[in-house]
Amino acid sequence: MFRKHHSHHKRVSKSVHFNIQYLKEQLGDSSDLSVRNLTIAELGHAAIIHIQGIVDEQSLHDNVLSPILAFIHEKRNVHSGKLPEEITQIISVPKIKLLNDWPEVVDNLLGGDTVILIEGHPEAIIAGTKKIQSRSITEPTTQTVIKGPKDGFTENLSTNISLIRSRIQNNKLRIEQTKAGTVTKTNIGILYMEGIADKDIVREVKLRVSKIDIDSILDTNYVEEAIKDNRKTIFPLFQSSERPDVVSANLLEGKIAIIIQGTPFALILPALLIQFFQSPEDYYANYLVSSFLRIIRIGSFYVNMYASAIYLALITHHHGLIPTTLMVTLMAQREQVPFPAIVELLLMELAFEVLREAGIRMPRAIGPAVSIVGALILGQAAVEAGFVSAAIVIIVATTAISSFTLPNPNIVNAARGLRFIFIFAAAFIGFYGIILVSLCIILHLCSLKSVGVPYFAPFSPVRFSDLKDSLIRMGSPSLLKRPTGTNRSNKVN
Amino acid sequence: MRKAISVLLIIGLLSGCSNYRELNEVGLIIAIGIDLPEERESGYRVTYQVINPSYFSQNGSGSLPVINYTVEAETFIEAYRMASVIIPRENRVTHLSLIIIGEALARAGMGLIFDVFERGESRSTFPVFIARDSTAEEVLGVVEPLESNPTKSIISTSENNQKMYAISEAIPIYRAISLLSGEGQNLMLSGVKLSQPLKSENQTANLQNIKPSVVEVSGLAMFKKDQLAGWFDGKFARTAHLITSAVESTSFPLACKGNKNITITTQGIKSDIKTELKPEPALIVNAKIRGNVTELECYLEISNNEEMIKLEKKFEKEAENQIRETITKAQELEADVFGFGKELSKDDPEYWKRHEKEWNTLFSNAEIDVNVEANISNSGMLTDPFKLQ
Repeated sequence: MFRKHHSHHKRVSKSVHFNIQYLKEQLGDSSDLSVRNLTIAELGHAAIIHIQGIVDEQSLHDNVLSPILAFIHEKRNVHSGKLPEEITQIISVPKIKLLNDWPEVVDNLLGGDTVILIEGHPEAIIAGTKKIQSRSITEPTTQTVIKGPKDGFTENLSTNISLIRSRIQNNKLRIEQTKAGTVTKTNIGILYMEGIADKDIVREVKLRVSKIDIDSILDTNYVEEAIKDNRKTIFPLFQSSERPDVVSANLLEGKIAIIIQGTPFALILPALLIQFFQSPEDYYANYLVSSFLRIIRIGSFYVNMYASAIYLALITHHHGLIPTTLMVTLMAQREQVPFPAIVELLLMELAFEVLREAGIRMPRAIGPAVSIVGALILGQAAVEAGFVSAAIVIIVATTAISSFTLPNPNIVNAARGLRFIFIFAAAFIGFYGIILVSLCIILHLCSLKSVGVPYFAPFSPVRFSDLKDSLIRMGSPSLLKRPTGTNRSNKVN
Repeated sequence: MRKAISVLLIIGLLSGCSNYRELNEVGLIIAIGIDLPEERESGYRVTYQVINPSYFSQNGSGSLPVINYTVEAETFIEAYRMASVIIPRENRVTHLSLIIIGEALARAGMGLIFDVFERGESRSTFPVFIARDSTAEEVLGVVEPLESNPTKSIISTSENNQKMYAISEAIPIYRAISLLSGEGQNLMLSGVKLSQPLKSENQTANLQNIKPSVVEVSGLAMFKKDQLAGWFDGKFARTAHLITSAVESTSFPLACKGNKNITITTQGIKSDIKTELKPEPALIVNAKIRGNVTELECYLEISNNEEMIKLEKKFEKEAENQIRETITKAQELEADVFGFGKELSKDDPEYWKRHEKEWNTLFSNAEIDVNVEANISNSGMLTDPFKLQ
């Protein structure tokens, strides 16, 4: 997938026949290559070439074929030397250019453009008839909101850009297109707000994107992995979103968005840890409610990471910390369980991970069957059979449910991974281990950077003005200033 | 590579911090009863009350919630370790919540027996009680229907009584230690006993009896040094707590006509004690009592303010008498359980230093000066009672 591929440069020849032969050879005589031969007056032979399925047939007919055929009928007396220029005059597609470099011509042909070759001219006319099939704009599936915009990105780059353009109607919105992926030659759009985004960060991002050297880019994660600052970390260093409103809001805060042809997920960078707890809905609802919900989300992130480890530490190392009545209940539950607590906990945690993974991939029709089996076997039968204690089921269920409160799946995956480290540390040396691992994680977080911006800001380094939109969201008068982390050039005071 | 090795090394070293114990491998001791030994000359007879977890599980009916193991040994730790001859699980005192001391042992002198509880890994916030006229083993040996285990029934009976009438007060072990080691105040510990002896050895029979043998708080033990010297009973125990401001709420019946009574329920009691030298020490108690009229058995126009003031005076007199009698009882035993000496040592350290040794005699001969300020503020939903026609 990531192997490099090199092609040699060649120029378009004067002979149409030779050129067609060359193209067929290049494309392996592909069956969807359509070649239409024409004779333009006495000026000679010509060919109109396109690839079926990725061109707009309507536009090809109305704007390319019809004018050319009409031109032939008129049999105007044209100086043959200027024929390509004449043709570009009569073709009525918005995008048209002349190329003589074969690799570029092939790229355009594969991109959905139509190539017109004329005998005696070592140039190809490229008419923009591109039309990539894409689905219509639908509601995002990963970051749903109850109240707020309901449109989501599609796989089509230009649709996605249009969704952002329609939100930010400002001449400072910069969209720079480039291609990456030596084989796939995927279109990549880098979006930012001139004057708000930090110039150094923009330059850095462009530099990193231009240095991407992999075969293919099929999703934003390919770019993310190629350009992120620290490849070993479990934490997501960039935010990905399929919501145009989220991308727009981030652009307006001075962040940079990378949109890729073929995936509805846009990459937002630099990202801070706190961003992964912010739901777009926070800004669409009353700030008191939003703050409360944000605290709930952060709380459930901690529950998701720590609950099982703390439970394990309590029942294996720190019996004295459990209230006596609860202790008696827990002892009663553990009485018949044949496994050590750590095995019991890991069994249930893994069982849940399996269920979750199965839930994503199983056919929708058998979903209810799987959930019944999961709920009954794991929840009830396992307890009744004495395989696991009821408390463990409660703990694992709490952990599982709390993971679904977070608006971003990447941070949930980080918590999932860390949870197991915490469990092992707790089984090993109890709370001491949990605290030790926590300290390591905090140190790690403080060392992380996202495109040079401290990942753990505004907590470390402390940025007091940004704290107003971190653990809680203050009302809008106090949020008039832009966050200081990502833009240094254009501050609003 | 170096990183991996150092992480492994750290993990290896950290394993010393591990204290891994599965829940189904520990025997949870929730109460310890201490008595004089029966089979040996010296040492203790220790009863461990251990939780039986399977009673609390779903299919655990038929067994009892706790199991008592009794061991005799020279010292506590010896007994604790020796208990492994009969207890099948590693016994842990992390959840120890009650100590009962048999009266015989308390009378013989407790010495430093609390040392081990403060030194070890148990908490030191749990209460100590004296098994009155019986042994700790016996008091811990009854499961009553309303509470899930004997420990809980002793603690909750005591707490409930402290709230409702105040004969009993749960003295945590750290306070008992500070009273034993402090100067100018003797220890008072609440007593517990069984309301009636068990009719049969079968505990389930007791559970099915409508009038079962239950734990009863009974009296307040006065100590001289570490030895039990005597008991306050009923009203006197309550009044002793009134002097030490340990009463939340209690009731005072006042005679009104014939053998009819008016009952005052107190709401807040704050009493100050001090010792004045005039020039011999005099014990002074100033108490403020707020209360409500909650029962009237004879006709009294309490809507009339003058009647109310008369009632308050009567109440003050009654309370003063009770306090005086209670202090007199302590004086007879020469046991200053209220801390008059402690107050004196704060107010006049020099005098205290000179007379510390003879304080018990000074205390028992001291004059008593009681001053109660009563305030009856409320008479419930009624003012005057209804008239019998």
